[in-house]
Amino acid sequence: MSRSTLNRRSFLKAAATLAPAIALPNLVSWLDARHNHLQTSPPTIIVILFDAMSARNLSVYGYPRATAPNLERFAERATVYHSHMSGGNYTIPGTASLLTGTYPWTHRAINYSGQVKSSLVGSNIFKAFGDDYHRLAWGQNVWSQFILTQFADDIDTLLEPGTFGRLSYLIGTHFKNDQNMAIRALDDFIFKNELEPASLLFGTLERTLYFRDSNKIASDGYARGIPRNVNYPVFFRLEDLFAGMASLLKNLASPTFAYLHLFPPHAPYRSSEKFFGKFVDGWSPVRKPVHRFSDQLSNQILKTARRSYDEYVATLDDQFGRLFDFMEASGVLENSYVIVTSDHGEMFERGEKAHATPLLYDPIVHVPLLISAPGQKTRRDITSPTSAVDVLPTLLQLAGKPAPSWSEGKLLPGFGGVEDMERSMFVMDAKNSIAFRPFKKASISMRKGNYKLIYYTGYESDDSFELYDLDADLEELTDLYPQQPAIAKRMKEELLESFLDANKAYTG
Amino acid sequence: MSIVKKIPKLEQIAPVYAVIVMLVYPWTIIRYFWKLSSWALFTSLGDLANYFAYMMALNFLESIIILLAPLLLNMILPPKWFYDRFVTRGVSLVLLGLGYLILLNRNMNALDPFPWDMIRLIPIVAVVILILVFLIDRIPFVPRILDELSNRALVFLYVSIPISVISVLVVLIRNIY
Repeated sequence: MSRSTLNRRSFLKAAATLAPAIALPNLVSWLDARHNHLQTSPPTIIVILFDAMSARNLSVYGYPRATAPNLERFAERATVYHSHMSGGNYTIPGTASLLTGTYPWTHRAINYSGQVKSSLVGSNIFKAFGDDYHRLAWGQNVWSQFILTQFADDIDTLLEPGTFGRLSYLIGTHFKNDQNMAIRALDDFIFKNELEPASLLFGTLERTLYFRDSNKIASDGYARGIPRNVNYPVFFRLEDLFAGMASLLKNLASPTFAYLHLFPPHAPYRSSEKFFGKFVDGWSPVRKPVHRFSDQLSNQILKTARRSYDEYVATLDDQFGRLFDFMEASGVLENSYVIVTSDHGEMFERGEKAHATPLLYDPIVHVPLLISAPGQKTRRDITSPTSAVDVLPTLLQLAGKPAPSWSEGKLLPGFGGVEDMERSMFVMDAKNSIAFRPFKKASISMRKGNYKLIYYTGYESDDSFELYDLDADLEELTDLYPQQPAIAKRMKEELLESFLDANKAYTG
Repeated sequence: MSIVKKIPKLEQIAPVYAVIVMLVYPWTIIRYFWKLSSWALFTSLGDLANYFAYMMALNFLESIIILLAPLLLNMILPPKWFYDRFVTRGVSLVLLGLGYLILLNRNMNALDPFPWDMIRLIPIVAVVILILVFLIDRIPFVPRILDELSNRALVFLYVSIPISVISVLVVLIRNIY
């Protein structure tokens, strides 16, 4: 009796024939399922916000110093917005505009430590994303936490400012059910760093322990000491923040909307040793006249501050590079929208440093916006002006949600919107006005196409205006207000009408 | 003398506590009024009341803890040394102790270097304060002044205690619900 035997050669042959026959349909169906999953299931959306990051100081936007090579890498697989404007000129109004999709004259978070007006608290991006999303938020800047804690009912996971940090002496964060009020009353008043403590026993004790512990933190690798939050006792190392973020992103539930508001590169500028002195390069920006509303700082002070800022931005970008590599390797970029932006910019010109200023020039209001769609491999550039208020409706559209009626933004070009050069967009500083009264003292910038009108009211006996053509004069050196009366008149009328409209609800 | 008998009577504790309240509460209240102008730009009356509640609750806790210092000293030392002159010595202890705390606190601002020297001096200052507490009431007019002061300060308790109790309740309710 002959016995048919399966020798090694015929087994391999059979396996080679059978394997694709078995595996291919599985692979195809897996790919189909994955495609369908991406098509049908809501995508994860991750917003990474760098506080006080001016687009004007980023090499990805043409800055001559190589401050952001890793953002440039990220840009190669993202949509890059070249004229994106913040809603305000510091954290409170800038963050509130982003998270409510409204201008400061609507949300009224206009003052230092201010807050979104109570009737608008329910109109926020987290609520609009709804329960089907896991909503995660982290405000490393305590002021951004003021805004986020207002929306705490709509956030599933709210991380504290000290998360991933080396030291946090914030007290209000321990009052989980009343965090907004507790942070304001305790950390922003009784224990606030800028003055002596307002509490005799606990304040003195807290300050002593905090100084003792902060002196123990190793500052190796950081030339000017490790980064910290200004005015609040929170210390961190950038490498910890980004490692923490990587582990956070790795374990995100699907779908998630994550808003990660990082404190750097906000002052104090603490670059790492690797980048310290990197920009002692003899380069100088265009010299600009000192503005009458500025702090009248010398050019030398501004130059030094700019260099420190640039070095800190480069340090931050270096760490972002690590996160970017992680997101590429782990597939986060394949499955998620990743948005990089800022709440406001920073300036080092015209006698003014940083952003606590009524001067709404381009370095303050021009912020980065880069959106990487799932699996995007090529770069796309959008040059028409866009605003922070557009981010909310656009992200909701990406999540398959309708744009809420209360948002003043429009869909961003490239994500359902159109490039509109005739649209007017506003940035506002009104920190010295009363939030629930008509604005008495404010500066407003209105962008329409290539023109930008800046309006100052309440600073002098007469209101004043400046007009610039940003296409021809990006440095805003030539005030066209007296030279272009027709354009000036048209824009002035529109701005004043919008301003009066905003004030109307609060008049008498 | 048994431990229980060494616990001072309410009429002995109250004047000492009143002096603590007289110093601890205004320290925060003055700062509250400084901040009021900036809060007034964006804060509702309800929120101002809530800030005040947190502040008062914290002051209440602080004042109780500070009161523990003379009470503890009283329990440790022989009655003749402290119990028999609880008001005078208690008041002088809290006045001197809080005086140094005020000095320390005033030096803890953002502009000047942290006052480590003053912190290091605390053990020496504590010994000096203790010595002074036992010497100061030998000066003939001092006990009378301290008694007068603490008796007059009692009036603050009629305001601070009810407000503090309400404040503690407000903070508790806000954090429970």
